[in-house]
Amino acid sequence: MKNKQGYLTIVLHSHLPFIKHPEHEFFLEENWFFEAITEAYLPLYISFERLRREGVKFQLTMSITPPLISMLTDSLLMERYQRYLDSRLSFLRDEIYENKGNEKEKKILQFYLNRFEELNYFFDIKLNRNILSGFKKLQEQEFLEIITCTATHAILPLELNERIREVQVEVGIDAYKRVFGRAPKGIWLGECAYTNGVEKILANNGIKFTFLDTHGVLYAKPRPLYGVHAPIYSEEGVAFFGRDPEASKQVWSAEEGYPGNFNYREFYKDIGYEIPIEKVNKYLHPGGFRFDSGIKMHKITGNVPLNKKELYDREKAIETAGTNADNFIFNMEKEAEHLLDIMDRKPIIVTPFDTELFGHWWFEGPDFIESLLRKIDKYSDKIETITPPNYLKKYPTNQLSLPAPSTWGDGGYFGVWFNEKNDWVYPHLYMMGKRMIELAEKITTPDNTIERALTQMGRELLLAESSDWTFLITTGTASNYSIDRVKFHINAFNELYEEVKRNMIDKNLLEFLEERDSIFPFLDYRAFRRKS
Amino acid sequence: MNRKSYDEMTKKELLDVAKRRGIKGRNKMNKIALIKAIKLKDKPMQKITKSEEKIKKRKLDVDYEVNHLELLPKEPGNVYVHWEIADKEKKTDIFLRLINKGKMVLEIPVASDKGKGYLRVEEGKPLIASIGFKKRKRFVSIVSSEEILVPHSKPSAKKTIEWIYVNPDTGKIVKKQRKVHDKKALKKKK
Repeated sequence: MKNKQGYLTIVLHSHLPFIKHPEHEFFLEENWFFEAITEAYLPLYISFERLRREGVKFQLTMSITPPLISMLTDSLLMERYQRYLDSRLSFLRDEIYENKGNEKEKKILQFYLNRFEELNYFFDIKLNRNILSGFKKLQEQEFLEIITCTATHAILPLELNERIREVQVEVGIDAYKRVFGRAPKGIWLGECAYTNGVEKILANNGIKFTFLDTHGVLYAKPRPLYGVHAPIYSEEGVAFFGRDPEASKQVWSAEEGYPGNFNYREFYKDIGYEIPIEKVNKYLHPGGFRFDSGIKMHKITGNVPLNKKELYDREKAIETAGTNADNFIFNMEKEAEHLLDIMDRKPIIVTPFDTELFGHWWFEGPDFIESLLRKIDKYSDKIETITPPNYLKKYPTNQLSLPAPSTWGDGGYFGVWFNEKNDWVYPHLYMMGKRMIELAEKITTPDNTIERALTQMGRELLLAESSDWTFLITTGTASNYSIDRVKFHINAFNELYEEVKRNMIDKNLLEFLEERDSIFPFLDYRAFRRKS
Repeated sequence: MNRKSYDEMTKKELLDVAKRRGIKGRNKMNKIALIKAIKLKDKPMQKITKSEEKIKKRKLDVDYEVNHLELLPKEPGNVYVHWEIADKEKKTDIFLRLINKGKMVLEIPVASDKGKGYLRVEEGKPLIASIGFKKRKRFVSIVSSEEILVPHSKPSAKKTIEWIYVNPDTGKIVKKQRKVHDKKALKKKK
């Protein structure tokens, strides 16, 4: 084996909040999930498969959060996803049959038709509507290291009830085991949020490693000798890997970074807003509601208004993704070379990203990742990809240091999830935690209905704790939906709490909540009891 | 999301809904029969709507009528506190204290029933909040918070270096004074 100078750990963090509305035939926010499958999860899977078949060696770390696991294994949502694919396929077939537009437009429509047919083949035929089975196999073949997350992407430092904190980790592990057939070695802490004490919970649950933002490691105590280019261990032996600030910048930034290249697909110009309303009715939404269809015909072009965008050129875009991958590798090699000069061991460069960036926000992101992994394996004599467990096998001795409280959010701390717009949520979460533990410990032999109600309270509590709601309230996108959601879970919890205490359960309501907020079908309310 | 009522829908749209509801013989029905059949199928949906309304109409609990006090970290030098005092015999002169390792660092008079607010504090310190009243000049606590660590914004001044070896298979931990990278080297040292 060639003597490489450093390791690259790419981490793709895959997460969406649990959104399921069986009470509505079409529900706009469910499309977030369908778009992520169409643009990110399936294309990435197809890329990984292609690399595997080509014999490319690569190692990539991927978190798949428990809400996402729940949605990807939900039969109603998978049925609706099939409908989503089918409607786009019929739209594209009909458009191509009608033979409208110029040659360039026809070519783009044909590209989309091929693409949706491929997605449909992988989803429906190859994976039998079980997308996770594909990723599981790649993990068994040692291309992926899949890790779990706090149960509902909760921010543990903002949950001061020790038992609820533990449950967030325990349920996250349980959800993972049921799908991937073994315990997770690592965890993604929701929003990379850490504060002292979390390391003990991770250790008690057999977690070996996690990721923090740069300052979570740089400000650790004592000061880490290697900065973020080697992990640190807590007293309990949990490894903390810190984000490399340089590596992520090029990819993250929409303006200066790769995703802003003029050849790439324009995100904001979608045929869903442009086709005649009859077609919207027919293919997208029976109520005539316009929203993103996922079929976008134009490229970024330049700093021009949407009506001045030029048509998308797929070949050119793919070529650009390859050029960007070259540039990324060049920078990583330079960095590794430089670090090796000042370190007495090979550096590890950790670059975590939201998976949805690749494909959803940056359409060619999966092509970039594919090209990157292929080129590193084939051509780079300086860097190789590695997962944290494999790195820790090579370097089992690391510095003892306690990480600093931090998140990877704007500002680096908790202000995004916690400010004058959304701080009203926390007193409720606090009381819900107390009430949950109170009833879980008090009620030892419930009848079936009470038991179901108690377990549903657990689901409502966990769902209310998703960091997504407070995040979206702060950013102002889907803010009304998020406020409604968090209020709904608080109210549903408190309603059930009162009904359990009065021993008068509204069975229709309970059934409705079980159907709608059906995350973690395996949950047992006894999980909330404190360990004596 | 707003939806058209069935009466506003075209026959084609109704047929589409009927198809999704699994209504048999729909192609032979006229508009009125279609609407009737769909509405019949919708009965369980109405139950759902009622349940949904029940939760949506519920007002958020204003008071939980339990003493509580929570201190949360926001960012370096900034914490948030919220509390509720439900005690029957309400005291009038209530104070909030912040305590660092047994030492009071802040004391302010606060509302005696409930409240919330952001406080400036020193960064990097563990803190507990306590709410209470004064009796013969002594502070009597009614409720205290969990301890939190206020985030800090600087690297640690502590530079001592200690290494630990974690066996990748067993998880067994060995503390080392000097760094030893791999198992083989560790054995050699022994």
